[in-house]
Amino acid sequence: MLNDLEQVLYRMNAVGLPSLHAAELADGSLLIEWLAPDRRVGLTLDPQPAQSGWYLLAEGAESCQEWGYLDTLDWNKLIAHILTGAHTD
Amino acid sequence: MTEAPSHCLRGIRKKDFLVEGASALHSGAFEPDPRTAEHRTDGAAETSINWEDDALVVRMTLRNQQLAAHGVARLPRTVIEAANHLPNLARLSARSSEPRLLFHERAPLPDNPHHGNILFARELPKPLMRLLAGYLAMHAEYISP
Repeated sequence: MLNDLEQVLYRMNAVGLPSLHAAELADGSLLIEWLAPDRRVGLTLDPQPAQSGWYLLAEGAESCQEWGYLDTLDWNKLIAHILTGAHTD
Repeated sequence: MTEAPSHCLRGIRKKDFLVEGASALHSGAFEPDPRTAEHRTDGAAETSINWEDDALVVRMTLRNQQLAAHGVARLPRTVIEAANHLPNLARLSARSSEPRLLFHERAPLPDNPHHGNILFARELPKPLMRLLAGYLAMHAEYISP
């Protein structure tokens, strides 16, 4: 999973997308987020790997509330969500 | 002071929760404390807040350097309530025994009559909990120290 993440971050950096923001949470998880005014994407690395997950959130015409554990993560969908936000800023 | 006012205030404890000069808030600013669920009969997890009962509560909250060292997030109460009606989340609530994913309460303390909690329903999947915290952060207004 970390190899996938590294590749995604490399691709995002290569096309100049907004930087990510990471913070440690109360349960020891690391939450990495990409933020735009009307949308955000989150990826959590939990001390208990099975609890690690992702979420997509958007408002407006492209309203979206989706989440799941990492075994259901579709990297292409996640990147498309971020790209859409970058293009509408 | 039993009715919930129009806004609540959440202290920002960590600088990491401020994004790019506080133009946005990281979802961690509204993350509940998982330990609190163990002490509640409803099993909900608490994000501690102050209800903005009057204009002085902002200053009082900002004075608490332990809880609001990096400022305060001001959130409309209606946002907490509206989260339960977002399309995908409303469908989830309808299938659950707990009709509300997010709710709120007033929980005064001996030294703080304004204290309350945003409550995340019992045993929410962690990714959903983070989504809800993100929804709150997306709609909060930042007030600097």
